[in-house]
Parts: sequence; structure tokens; C-alpha cells
Amino acid sequence: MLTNQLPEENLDVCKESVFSELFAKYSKDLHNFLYYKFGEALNPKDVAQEAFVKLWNNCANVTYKKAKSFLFTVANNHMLNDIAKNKTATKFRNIKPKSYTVESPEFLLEEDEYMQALQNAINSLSEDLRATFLLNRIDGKKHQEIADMLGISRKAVEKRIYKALSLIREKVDGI
Amino acid sequence: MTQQDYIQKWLEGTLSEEERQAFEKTQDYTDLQKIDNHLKYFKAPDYNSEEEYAEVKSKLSKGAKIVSFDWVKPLLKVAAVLLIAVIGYGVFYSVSTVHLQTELANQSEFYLPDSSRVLMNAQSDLNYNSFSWQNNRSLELRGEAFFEVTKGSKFDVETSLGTVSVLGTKFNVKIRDKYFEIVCFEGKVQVEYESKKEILTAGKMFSALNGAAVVSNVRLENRPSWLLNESSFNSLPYSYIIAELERQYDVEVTTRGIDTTVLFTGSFQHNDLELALKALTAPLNLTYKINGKEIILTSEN
Repeated sequence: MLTNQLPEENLDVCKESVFSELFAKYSKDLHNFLYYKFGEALNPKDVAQEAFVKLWNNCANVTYKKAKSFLFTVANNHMLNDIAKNKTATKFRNIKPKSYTVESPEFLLEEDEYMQALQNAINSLSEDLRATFLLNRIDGKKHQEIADMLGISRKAVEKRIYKALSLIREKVDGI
Repeated sequence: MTQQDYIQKWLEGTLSEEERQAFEKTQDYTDLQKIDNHLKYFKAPDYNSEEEYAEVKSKLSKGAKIVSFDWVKPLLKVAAVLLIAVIGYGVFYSVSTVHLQTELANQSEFYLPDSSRVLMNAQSDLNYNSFSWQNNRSLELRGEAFFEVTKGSKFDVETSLGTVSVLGTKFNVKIRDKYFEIVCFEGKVQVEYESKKEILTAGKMFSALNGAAVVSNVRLENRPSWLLNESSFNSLPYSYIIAELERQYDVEVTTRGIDTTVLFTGSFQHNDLELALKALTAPLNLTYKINGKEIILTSEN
């Protein structure tokens, strides 16, 4: 995983090269995790940046190995605080499929109904199920990778994904 | 192996070749594949970690060892180029906007660039962009019009009250003050009104007055009644009917002691003013007087 020559425990997060490597490695995953979990209304990009700024400010106390879980925990708490403060309901929205060029009208409408049902199904998942499921199915993250990000067991990730899939299927199969 | 085991293994991607072939024959597989194919539309927006890193750097506390790089100048250059492109596009775009209008007591017919047909009722306005029409079939409508849409990509009619989307069909759109009405004559139409979506099939009518929306069945001619020189109404306030009469005959109506909020169901002809006035006044016990372009309606009691 790590390409640096130094053993992990000796890497100093306060060094810019180390910090920027951490950023390159985890910022996208962190952003996508926040987006899938809380939707875009709560500014996942800003919250991800904020988490890295906090990491920098605490760089003397956080070891390289702990940096990843520090980032995910800090960002997650930040979001939960925002929700508690603003009482905003999280809503997950999709990007509309571009355009289907020349298809039959019926196909287009059915497609629309299906997308609508799928969006509702994804929306109605709990935040944890949704984030786990989408990181796996859309971003192609392995079970172990997700387990590391969230600090839970691999088995728990497996269960969440299966549970999320079953709940989604109840709402979209047959459309 | 149970079906659940198969699904678990499929999720992990650990099905053996043999198992995979067996699983692909099942309905479960078809359903899962469909979900997976559609999930890609929910992908997180693009994330550029270099740009984000530049922003984070600027937020880091002073005295840190990070040497900051001046991003402003190169960004300004990019911004200038983009601005010119946007203005150029904007000018071209506005030049190619087509504006169509019908006067009082007039109807007209024309074809859109994709040969979709539009029939416009009196005093209606329609805007579309001929330049972007191929990629974006979208137009703005005020008033009332009947559309026969050529099959192809999505076709949007945007109005002050909501959006109607169709995919190759015949339908009528009517916008009057607070009243919004769509009748589907062929195919399917999607109406978006106050952020709710409703799909209409042939023979269904969507109508909304002051925010209260209903979908009902209508008896269908081939065409809306106004194309057969008649205006018809279903439970609409009398003031809307008077406005329509003014529109169709280019007259001015004055009412005396009449409650124009009363709901009216009925129709009137477009080619005989006397007959039209009789049809509108008799049911409510009103009398009318024609004075050139002016019409006075009075209550009999």
C-alpha cells in the first residue's frame, strides 16, 4: 500500500510531503464517503478540506497510521454536528442521466420511473447503509477497504451491503 | 448453495466460473444487473484532489512549513478565456432565439426545426432557440397551444406554472393566470407542477387551479375543442371564461353585479358572438348588451 521508503511509523505528518501524500491518497475517498452518506447539501468538499486542516493543526499528535481514521472520524462528526445544529434532513440526489438519444417514448418513461424509484430507495436507506453500499457498488471499494475507512469489521461491511441491496430490491424489482 | 449465498458471492465477486454461469440464468441476476447499471448515475461528482489541495493549503495556519504558490494569476488567465467564451456563446444564443406570437382573435400554425407541429391559440407567446434545438428540445409558452411532437429526445414545454415533458405525442397545454391544464391526446406526457411529477396517458387531463391539482378522464375528440372553433370549460371560475371570450373575439367585457368566482362548466363558439354570449349568459340568468367592441353583462335579478 505504501510506496514510501521509510517505515510507516516513522513518517511525520507535519512534513508537507507526507501531508500532501495523505491528501492525494485519502481526500477523494473521504469526499465520496461524505457525499454518499450525507448528500451534497452539506458541502462534502468543504468538510473534507476542514478535516485535513484539523489533521494539519494536530499533526504532532496524530501518527501516520492513525491519520486515516482520524480524518474519517473528524469529518463524520463535523457532518453530524452540522445536522444537529441546522436540523437539515439529509437528502441524496442523483445526477440525471445525460440523454438517451433515440429511444422509444415508452422506454424513456419507464427508465424515468425506474430511476425515480431507485432514487427513493437509496434515499430511504439509513446513512450508514447508503454510504457503505454506494462506496462498494459505485466506487468499487473492496469490503476490507471500506472496513478500514469506517473502523468496522469486514463482516459488518458485508452485512450492510447485503441489507442495503435487499431493501433496494424491495422497492425497485419489477419496475 | 442458497440463493442468498449466490448473491453474497456475486457482491464480493467471488463466484466461480461455474457458479457464475448458473447464477446468470436466474431472475435475481437480471434484477441485480439492472440496479448496478443504473447506480452509475448516482456517482459522486468529479473530485479534483489537486485543486482541493491548493485550497486546503491556503487555509493552513501561518508559520507552517508549506510554501504557498500563487494561484491567482494563472486562474485569472483561465477566467478571462472562459468569460470570452461564455459571452460569445451568450450573444450567439440570444441571436438564435425565435419568438412567436399570436394576436387577439387569431390562431396560427407552424413547425419547429425537428418538424414537430405547433398550433397556437389566440394571444399566446412562444420562445425557443433554433441553435440549440437539436440538442435541447425545450421551449417557453404563455397562453395555450397544441403540440404534435416528432419522436426523439425529451421535449420540454416550460411555463410559469410548471413544466410538461413529452416523448413523441400529441397534447394541449393551457396557462391562464393561476390555471394550468394539460390534456394528453396520444402517447404519454409528464407534468411537473410544484415539484410533483405526474404521468398522463392518452385521455387523461391534468388541471390545477390555485395550487389544487387533479387528474381526470376526458372525452376525447382528435383535437382540443379550440381547434374546432369552440372553447370549453370544466368547473372554472366565471372570470376565466370571460377572459377567454375577450381573447377569442377581441372584445372588452364589463360585468355589473355578477359574482365572477362562481364555477362554470360549458362551452362557446368562436364564429358567432351572439350565440356565444347566449351560451354563456343563459345558464346564469344574465343579460348582455353589445356595444361595438364593448360588451356589458348584467344580472337579471
